[in-house]
Amino acid sequence: MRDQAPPPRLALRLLDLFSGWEDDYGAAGDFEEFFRAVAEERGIRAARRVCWKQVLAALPGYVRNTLIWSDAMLKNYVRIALRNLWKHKGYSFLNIAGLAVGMACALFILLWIQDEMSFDRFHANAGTLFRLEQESATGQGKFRHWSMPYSLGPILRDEIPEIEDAVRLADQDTFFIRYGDHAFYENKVMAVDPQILEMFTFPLLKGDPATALERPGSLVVTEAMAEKYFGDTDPIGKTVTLNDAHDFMVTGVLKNLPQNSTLSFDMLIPFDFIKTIGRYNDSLVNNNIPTYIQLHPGSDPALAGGKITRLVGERTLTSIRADPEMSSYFDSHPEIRGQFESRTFLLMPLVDINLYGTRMAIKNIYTYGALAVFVLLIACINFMNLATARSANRAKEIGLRKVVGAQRKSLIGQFYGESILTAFLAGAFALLLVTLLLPAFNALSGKSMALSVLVGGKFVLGMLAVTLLTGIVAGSYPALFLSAFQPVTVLNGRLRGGAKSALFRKTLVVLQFGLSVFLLIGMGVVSRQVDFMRNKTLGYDKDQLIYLPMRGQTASSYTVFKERLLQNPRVLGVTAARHPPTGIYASGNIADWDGRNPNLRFRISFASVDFDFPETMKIEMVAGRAFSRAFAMDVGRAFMVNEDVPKLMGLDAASAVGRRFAFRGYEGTIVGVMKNFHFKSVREAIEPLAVVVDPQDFRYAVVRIAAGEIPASLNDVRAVWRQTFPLFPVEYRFFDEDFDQMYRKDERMGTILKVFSTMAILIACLGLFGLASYTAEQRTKEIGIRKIMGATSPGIVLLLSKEFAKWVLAANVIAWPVAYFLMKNWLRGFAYNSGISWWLFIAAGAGTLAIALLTVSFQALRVTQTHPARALKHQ
Amino acid sequence: MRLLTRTEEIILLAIWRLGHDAYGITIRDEVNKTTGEEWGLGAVYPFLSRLHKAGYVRTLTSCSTPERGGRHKIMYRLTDSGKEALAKIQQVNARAWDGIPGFIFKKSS
Repeated sequence: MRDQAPPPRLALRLLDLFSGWEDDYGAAGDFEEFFRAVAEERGIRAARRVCWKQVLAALPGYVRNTLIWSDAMLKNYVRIALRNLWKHKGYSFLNIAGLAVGMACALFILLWIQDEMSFDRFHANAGTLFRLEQESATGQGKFRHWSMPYSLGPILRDEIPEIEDAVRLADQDTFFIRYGDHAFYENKVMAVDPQILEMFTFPLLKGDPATALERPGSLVVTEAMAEKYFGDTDPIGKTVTLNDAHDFMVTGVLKNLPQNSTLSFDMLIPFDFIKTIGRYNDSLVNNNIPTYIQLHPGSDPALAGGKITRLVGERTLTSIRADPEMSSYFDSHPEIRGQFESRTFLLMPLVDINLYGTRMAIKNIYTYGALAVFVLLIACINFMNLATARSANRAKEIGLRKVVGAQRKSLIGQFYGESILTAFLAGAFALLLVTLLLPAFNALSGKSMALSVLVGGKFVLGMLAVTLLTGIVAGSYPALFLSAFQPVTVLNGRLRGGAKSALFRKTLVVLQFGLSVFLLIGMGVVSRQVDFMRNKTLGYDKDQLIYLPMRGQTASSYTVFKERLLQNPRVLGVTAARHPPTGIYASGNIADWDGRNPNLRFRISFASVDFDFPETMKIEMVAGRAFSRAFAMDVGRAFMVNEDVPKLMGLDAASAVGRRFAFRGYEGTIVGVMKNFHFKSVREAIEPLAVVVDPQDFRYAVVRIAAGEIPASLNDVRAVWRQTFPLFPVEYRFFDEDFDQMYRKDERMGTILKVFSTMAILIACLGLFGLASYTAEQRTKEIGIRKIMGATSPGIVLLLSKEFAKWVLAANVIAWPVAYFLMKNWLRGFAYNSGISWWLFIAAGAGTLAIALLTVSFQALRVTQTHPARALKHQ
Repeated sequence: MRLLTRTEEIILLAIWRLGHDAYGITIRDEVNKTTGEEWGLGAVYPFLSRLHKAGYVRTLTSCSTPERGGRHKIMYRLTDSGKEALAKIQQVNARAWDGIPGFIFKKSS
């Protein structure tokens, strides 16, 4: 033989696959022989071509052949399934409605999860992008953050071979932007390295990403910003002023940022701007701005992190040695040096930030995912319950089918067919519900998902998977249980329900109600926690308290502003602070005081404030006095601390007063101790806080206005602002609004839980309703006889309800400990929590019991209304 | 017993004519010869499968040969009921054609 080359394997494999004969007819061998013969005659290439042609020509016929036969079966299943659905319209309605609602709930949650998972994945380089983070040991354990030295980015780009590029994002505070008559405060302006537009996928609608941020004074704005300032005109080449001092020319327009981006900004300016305004420094010791890193594909982030740690360690040491003042400071403070030496750099994958970063979305994904599974499970249980309850009625049908030769396999097929068909019908309704309710869900969840997500490939696949899974789970009990009936038993008189199937049904009811009880308790705990946070005493009075951001030249006019405001009787107090007073961000752990144990170190939050701070905020003093103009030393040389500071210093409040204290470059004495107040989110524990008076550094004016006349007072504040700062628009926020923001997420979770647990209970009741009506129907005769023997209607209702009540109670008993432990765990995430009170359990129990009994007795009552004579004729 | 279809009839006849040498390739060649049409090689198997299920043919597995890549050759033989079915279709054909004069196929001028 001239040619031993084999025929195309793939073609033969296809043949095998589609014929489904496992080569009982010698086709593969024939093809091979045929191939060799052709190869002999016309060469291997021609043979291969002919062979492929033959195989491809054969396939359609095979496929058709297979389909014709399975199609006939499928048609039969569908027809029987439809007939059965139609015959029992009531049950079918309960089934489909329950499943549809359950599936709609699950779909919504699936959409939500998909949205959360999609964060930052739209960047073309997403896999190689990282946020640089550092961890250092402090007295209170490890402290991880992502503030980096200003100068670090370019050093890393040049020195670490794994790093392709590094981009620094200096998110400045609020800027005042003016273009002609349009003037606004913008707080999402970032000074960035120009490569940002190429490293990340933030597409430019206008302008060139390679050069847009190259030149100093260039500005890239988002679409929304372009419209805000320039309306319909072309923004490119327009010049705006920043803080009325710096001119910037628009060189690019960004497409609006997708909402699933963790990076968020409205305007970009070149990084060098922060050098222009003198905020930049070369030090590797100070941490100031986030830095993002792109690695070369295939580089190991852990390795790169190690190299960064080593490099920064060496550089820091060299720079400290070069500076005698600093090195003597470090020599005398070994613990501080240790802290710098313990600095470790890590790379946080960009796509993980949303899931595992501070937002910890992954937690919510688990919570809501579990919720989706619960609701769907409850709906499936409904289906199983109704199907098994009806099994007695269908036993005859099954027996007959078996007698005429139905295989168990085909019966299983039939039941699965039925349940999958029902699931698909329910799926169609669920889709309709989702389409109609998506806007409502967006409002509820704070997302902005468009209907277009419903046609995405992933969604369609997810939908199909959920439907199929539902159909299979819901149909598995009837399919496997009913198909096992012995034909002789079932045809020989009615199948008597069977204790086994009754027990199974009851277990399912217990499970269903157990889940409902759990959801109810969860809902109660969450909403109580939200209420608790809302009503928590903050340590200051948040009502009628506003703050106004002051930027650029406004800061110097603050004193005038304050004086003028205080002349107004509607203004009760005015003070100022460096940071937004509902979120003090600065902190440090290098504090020193007289009599300090050299090993004692802890993190202290820091704010510089104006006189009248505790008076305006209405913070009580525990010891000492508040800052006072009567003492010249109080400017910059005096501290007020909160109760935690003396406690951690190991002193009582009174003895801390008068003690020398040094912190963040200020040196002086502690003059007063304030009662603890929440200067951050109420979720977090109150931390130690120290404040000083430093007039250089005010960025927010805080004003307390009179209660009862808020609109008038606000008008007055506005008037004074216009008088003092004629060039700047007035902007103010209420403390209580800010405060509301803090627990919005938890409130949202509470609302979502409320909606979904309501759904769950509704679905569970639908199932119970079906089951109760079935039981009542089964016992029509019994009830008739009882009535003849003198039973009263209430007695019979009681008889029927008692059984269900028992199982609902059992569900409660099982759900309580589970709910207790899981919710306890959830509450642990809050520094101050409301705890779990026993009445929640009782309420959930009583609630479910009442709803269940109402459903059951409604049915029972209907049965008792039938005339006993008619009842006895039943069947 | 149902009547054979025309294709089944042609294939059965091909198998009978091939005698001891009836397998996929030869059957197809034979069918091509009879019908004057070019059949795909894969086209015969569904019919063989159907005939086999109906019991008109039986299969024999012959030894594997190198030119078949070490695969078995499945040979087909007529069974008695296959022969019966052929006999019956022949009768039916004969009856159906009985008395039909040849000239009807001539084109009318």
